[in-house]
Amino acid sequence: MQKYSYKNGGVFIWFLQRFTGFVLLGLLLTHMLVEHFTLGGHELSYELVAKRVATPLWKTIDSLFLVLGVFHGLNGVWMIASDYIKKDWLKVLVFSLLLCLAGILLTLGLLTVIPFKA
Amino acid sequence: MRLEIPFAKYAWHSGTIAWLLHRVTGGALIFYLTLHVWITHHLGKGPEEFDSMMKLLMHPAFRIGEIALLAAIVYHSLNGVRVLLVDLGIGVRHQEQMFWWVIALSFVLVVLGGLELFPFYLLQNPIFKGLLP
Repeated sequence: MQKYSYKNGGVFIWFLQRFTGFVLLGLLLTHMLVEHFTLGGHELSYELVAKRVATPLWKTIDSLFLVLGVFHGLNGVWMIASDYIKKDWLKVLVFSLLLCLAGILLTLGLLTVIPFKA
Repeated sequence: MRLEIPFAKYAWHSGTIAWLLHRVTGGALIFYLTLHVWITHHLGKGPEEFDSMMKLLMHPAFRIGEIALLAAIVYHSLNGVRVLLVDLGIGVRHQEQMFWWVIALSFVLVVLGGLELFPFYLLQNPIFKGLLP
């Protein structure tokens, strides 16, 4: 396990993976408490979700959640992939595919959250 | 392409299991994130589209998947905290015990969450309701 000498991206990316993980845990707990324990319970409806998403504070929190989640998740997949893939061309291909997926998730997610009006 | 299989490369101990489970649950969570973003984007299409999507999620397959999601999130979070602590140099000597605490705590939280979620599925879901006397 190359825990400390992380050859793809160095110690900064390694640190960022830990840091985003920690922040994501806080955001996840907030998200769960508000969305499922306070607001909607087990059943969510447009009315309940729209009221929350339409406020600037929640737009900011949800956008941050999305950006950090996409980074942490896809960087994790990249960590796994680069552990097993030895060929350079394949690394470039997988990295490009992950960047495309990041682009799609961020575009779709941010376009849902930011311009949203209830 | 040369694949190095973890089973052959690493000795099996609790750390190996923790590491492998962290990767498997992480992969599952990325799949869930993609699904979640796609489902949530129906919010922009108006109340009818979004609520019909929510109704689709009442299907038992999604409800059981929700408990699996809980398990993946709880394990990945708790083990993530363990990894962070060990990386910070906290409790390095106890990392093996910490792993078993992660497993025990995950088990308790998933059982509690499941007990909270499952009876609701039985009562609220028309498909489940049909199975009741």
